Amino acid sequence: MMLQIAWRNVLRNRKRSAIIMAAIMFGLWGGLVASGVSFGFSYDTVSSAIETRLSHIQIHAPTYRDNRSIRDTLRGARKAEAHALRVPGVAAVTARLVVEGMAASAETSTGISILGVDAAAETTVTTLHEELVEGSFDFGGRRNRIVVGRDLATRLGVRLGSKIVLTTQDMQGTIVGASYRISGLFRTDSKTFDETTVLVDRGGLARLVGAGESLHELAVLVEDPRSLDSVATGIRAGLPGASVETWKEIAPELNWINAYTEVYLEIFLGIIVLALLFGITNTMLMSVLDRIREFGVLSAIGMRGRRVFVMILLESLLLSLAGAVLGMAAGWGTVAYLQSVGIDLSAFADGMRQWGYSEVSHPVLPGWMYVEVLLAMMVAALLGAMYPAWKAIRLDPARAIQTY
Amino acid sequence: MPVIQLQGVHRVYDHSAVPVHALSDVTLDIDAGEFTAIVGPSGSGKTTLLNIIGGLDQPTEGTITLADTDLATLSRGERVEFRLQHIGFVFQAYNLIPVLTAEENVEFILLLQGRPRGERRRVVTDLLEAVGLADKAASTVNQLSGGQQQRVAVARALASGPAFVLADEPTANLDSGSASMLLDIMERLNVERHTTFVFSTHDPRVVDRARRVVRLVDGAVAEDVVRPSPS
Repeated sequence: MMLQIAWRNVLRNRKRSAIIMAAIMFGLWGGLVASGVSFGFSYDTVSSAIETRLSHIQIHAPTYRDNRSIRDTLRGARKAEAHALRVPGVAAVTARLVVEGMAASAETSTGISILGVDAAAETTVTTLHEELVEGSFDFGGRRNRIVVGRDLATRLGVRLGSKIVLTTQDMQGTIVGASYRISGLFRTDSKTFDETTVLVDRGGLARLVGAGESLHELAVLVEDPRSLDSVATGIRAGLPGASVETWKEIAPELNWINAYTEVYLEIFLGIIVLALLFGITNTMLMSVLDRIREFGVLSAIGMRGRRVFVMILLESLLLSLAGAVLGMAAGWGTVAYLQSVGIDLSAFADGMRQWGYSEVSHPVLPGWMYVEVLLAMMVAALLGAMYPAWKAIRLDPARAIQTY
Repeated sequence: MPVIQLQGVHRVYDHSAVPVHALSDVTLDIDAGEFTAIVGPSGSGKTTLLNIIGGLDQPTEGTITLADTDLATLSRGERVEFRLQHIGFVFQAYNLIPVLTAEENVEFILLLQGRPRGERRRVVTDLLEAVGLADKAASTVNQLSGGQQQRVAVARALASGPAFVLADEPTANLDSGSASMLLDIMERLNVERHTTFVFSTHDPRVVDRARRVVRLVDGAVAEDVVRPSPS
């Protein structure tokens, strides 16, 4: 009955209740949509980096990432690849030969990373082949074909079908070079990656640098990103002499983007909820001041202060939750719609790609965010009603009854 | 045997520069089953006396013993609980809970007392029949006339099975027909159920029916008249 009375009291002054419910609804709706957009940027950026470049897990020789030396090859690479494939949760593995070098055209030259890949295996781990804007990804079965970023092509002043010369060190430290014809151009969300990365056939590169069957990198795709750490642990267990790292260790700046976004949005939503708390206090205080005589009567007929206190908290809770549920439903609907259509920011593409941001953002909001907002609103509802409830139970019943 | 005993009760309000003596040395015993009217002009201390008897206000001096309990020994919370268990209130402005129906207003007291649902339903039905409002049980407060609201207030006051009912100007807002019906009901409850009623009033319709009239003048008892029972 107490809940029933509380709800009827909420409906008693419909205009006042509707105003604070609308404030809560629009406040949370705005906060959730803004959060969804921010999360979308963050998730799209990280996902894009993982899918097109990093993969979930990379396996190297222990010293490789410090030196990036051509001689830091992964011992027993084939066995390591076979082991990784047997670990539960691993979806696919691709092997890479990675060397640093220079790319030169008739106009200019620039420093690059040369990835020697098996095109077919690479497509099972990364989605770079889906980012092709011209040509094909499979090198046409030819050794001297190369896939480059369109930004690199632009910098070098070349296009699809043009020749460029790659120079690098071989395993003995001798400078070697070869001429390649561009068979594909890709364009990812990262301008930096596109300007500094080329892909060639791994066999051809191995012959050029004298690497034989040696490899520098195994890139692993896991079936479920939530099991990333357990899969990495499984791989590590069988490869004690190798460095097995997740994308969070390889690119901590990306992990930071996610963590920062979460913290930032929690603060942002916290400020919104705090502002709503004052609105709730104001509404509940007005409600209490309007009903001073009633509280005097309730005390007179035997309703103890703690029951009155709880009743006012319940009123605040119901009022706030009604607004919160509406706001969250509106927020969820808006985020879902924007997620399906995407937010096209290609007008700012140059600046965004400089930082690795996707041109089309797909807002997303994890389920725990809704739970957190709901809990925060419940706390705000209770805190907001504390002072009005305290005021109600401190009333002198004899004087309160005489109030009109 | 007295259910209400006041001994040398004073109430002084000192909110303003000049202290106001609302009650001066009031000594009064009211026995169970009495139908008593406290009368006097405005400002004579009727409402203050009722508030003090009801534990809503505290005397500056003197003792109040209600149903063998010295009110001074009770904390604020205990006084609320005492009112719930032992005192029924009827107010001039009815003061029903506006969001509840007639039967819910009566049941509310029983709910506060923690009575089981079955007993609550039985008591509510009985009391609404006693005040002639069984057919209005599901009506909301604003669907009832003033007289009907005051009858619901009487049923509410009786719901807890109180030692006595305090009624502050119960007929002041009622037309003569409604007032007469209300007084009929309270008289009948007094006779049939031996419910003790104490009214503060300056309504001659109430005074005429009272079997004891306590007259207050300037906060002191000026006259205390017991009339012979009509029967």
